[in-house]
Amino acid sequence: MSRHASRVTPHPDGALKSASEHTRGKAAAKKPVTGRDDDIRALTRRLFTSQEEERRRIARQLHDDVSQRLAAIEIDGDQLEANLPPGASEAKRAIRRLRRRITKLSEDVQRMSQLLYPSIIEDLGLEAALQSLTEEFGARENTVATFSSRDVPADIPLDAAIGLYRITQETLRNVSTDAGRTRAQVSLRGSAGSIQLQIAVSGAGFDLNAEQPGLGLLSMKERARHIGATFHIHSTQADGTRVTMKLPVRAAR
Amino acid sequence: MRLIIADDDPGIRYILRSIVEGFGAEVLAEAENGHHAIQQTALHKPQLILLDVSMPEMGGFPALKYLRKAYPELRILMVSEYSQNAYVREALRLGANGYLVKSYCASELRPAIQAIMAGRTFVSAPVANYQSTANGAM
Repeated sequence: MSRHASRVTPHPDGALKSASEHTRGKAAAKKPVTGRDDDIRALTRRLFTSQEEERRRIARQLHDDVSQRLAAIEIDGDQLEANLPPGASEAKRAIRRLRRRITKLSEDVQRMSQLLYPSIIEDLGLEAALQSLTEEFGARENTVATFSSRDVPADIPLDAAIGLYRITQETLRNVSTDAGRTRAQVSLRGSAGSIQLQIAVSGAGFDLNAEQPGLGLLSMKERARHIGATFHIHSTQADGTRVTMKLPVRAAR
Repeated sequence: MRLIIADDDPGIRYILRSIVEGFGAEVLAEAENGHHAIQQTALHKPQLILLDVSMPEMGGFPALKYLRKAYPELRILMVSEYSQNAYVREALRLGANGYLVKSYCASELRPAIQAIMAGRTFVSAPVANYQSTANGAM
């Protein structure tokens, strides 16, 4: 899987703006960017990159080593059960119990691996990855969660795709905690020179008026800035949560 | 039944081989990545290939794309640890005849092969309820 990092048009800044909460805008315009700000941004970029690389390495190891070995044990268990003599019903039950536990362990390891690093983006692309994330959210919360996409360019840079995926993941994680009977819509749209991602969930998940913004919100903003995307969030009890990002992509489509 | 097994893990290749040989299939060759799978297919002309999704250098999906185009008659069974719908959809979209979750190989490999050799599509039980539509309505 090739990485198209060079195909993104980077934004030199990415500060915060707007009515609800916005990256890149008025607030940044009032406050001149200093050399120290540049250093902090460069450091943040490096931290995100090295964090993703480390997570990728661990996820790969979980998948290539632990998952493969668990799969082999599951297959062995099935074969062992198949070779039991007729009448060994107690042994058969014990093997099945063991098999179920190993299956559960194997699923947990896969989930951990995907949480650490969404290799699905490299395997299938951003659209499929976001659709899968939306489906998993719907299944986990037992609620209606839909995904739609249109005119999405095929060559979204990998780091940008990971950033958009992580922000979606963070949004869904925050709103799912106490949002009760939620409905979620995730949409990805390509247009001339940019892609827009919107996550709309019927449930407040972020306190935008808090003196000290939560780590989740801060990390979402930083990630958006890191990939050069605008970031806008609106979150109230009445309206639910809506996160919108727009990412310029050179030669989109 | 003449087939090729493509998986980067020698342990999994051994297990798959022992299962299929157990019901009389002949393993013509083994491959450890997509490139190798394509080479071995060209060399041995199998009826069927068991193709792992996640392999280094060239993974199962790019190999599937090539093999489907080059050998329309070849039966291709994707074998993977992943049980997410997205993987099944992509495999079937690219022309695989079936998708099998690796941990269910002992019980499902034989019925899977029988089904796809009979011209049917096989999807592993853990993901058999996959949705084939790509997008939900907004």
